[in-house]
Amino acid sequence: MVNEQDIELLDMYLDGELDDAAQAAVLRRLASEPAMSQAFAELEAQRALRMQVWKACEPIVDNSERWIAAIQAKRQRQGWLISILDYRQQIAAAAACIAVFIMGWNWGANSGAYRMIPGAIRGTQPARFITQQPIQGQKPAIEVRVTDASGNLIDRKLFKTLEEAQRYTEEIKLQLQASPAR
Amino acid sequence: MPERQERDLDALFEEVIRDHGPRLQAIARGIVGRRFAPEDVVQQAVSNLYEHRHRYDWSQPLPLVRRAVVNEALRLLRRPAMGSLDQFDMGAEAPPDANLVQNETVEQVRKAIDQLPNHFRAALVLCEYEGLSYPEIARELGITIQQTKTWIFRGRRQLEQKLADFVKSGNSVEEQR
Repeated sequence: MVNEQDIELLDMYLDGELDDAAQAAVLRRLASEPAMSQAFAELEAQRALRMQVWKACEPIVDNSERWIAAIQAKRQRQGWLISILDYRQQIAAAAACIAVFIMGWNWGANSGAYRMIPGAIRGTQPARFITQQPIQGQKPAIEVRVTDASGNLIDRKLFKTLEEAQRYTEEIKLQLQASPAR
Repeated sequence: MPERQERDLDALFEEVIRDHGPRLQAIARGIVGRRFAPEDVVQQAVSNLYEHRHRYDWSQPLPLVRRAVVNEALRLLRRPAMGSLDQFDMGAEAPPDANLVQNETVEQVRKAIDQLPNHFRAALVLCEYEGLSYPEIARELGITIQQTKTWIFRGRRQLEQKLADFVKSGNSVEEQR
């Protein structure tokens, strides 16, 4: 009587997975056990049928050249794409520089801060706040800072006396009133 | 990668495909059956492999390409079913290689193989058609040797069962006549 383990053993024998000793043992059993021999014949027949199926899977037309052509086309596309990307990167960089320049120019030109205070640092927003700050132990002793709503410095001036600083502050206030922030 | 190495790799790649193309297509056909066109499976596998060619060790090119084909075939089979080519009545217009299967018994075996779980079928193709050893199959499929043995053994037993059912049903039809 042949059990499942015997079938597995015969399968492994047919697959060539047994070592020499195990192979010899299988051959001895095949010679002496008719049931084993019959099971072996059945397994061989089944395998032969499956081999016909596998063989039928082989193509009549060889598609290798088609696949290679696809790869070559891909290679060419990749090469072309790389050169295009380099070219595009250059153009993009140049375009970005021009765009930043134009935007900056317009922004600055439209900025209330820029127009209000000649020579002031271009701020992102119009001037809003003026602060006076005494500087301890130094001359000039008073610093006037003009900042926008976000705290960005628009203008900064140093004065020796509080009176001078006060005059400048009044001037700035008048300018702000004459040209209010948009 | 230096240009020369790149050219060598391209040449090696093409050589492997030229030398083993039909074999790769047969493996793909064995695994996907008639659910997908095997030439498309190989083309996709080869294309993917080429795209990532620098990631791999090309000292053994055939196992590398074969593994790509097996993986692509199994990947396609894992996708939601789109209907097999059989469903579109490909019998008359089937790919030429299918015309070789004329014998009814062999056709029944083919159908039984098609009904096996995909991983059993892949293991069987690699074992019987490619003649790979269990450790080689284990490497190809990324499983243990024990698992490989189990898949092959169970695959064969399931086939036996399916064919026994076919023989029984065939006999009963004959008896009814």
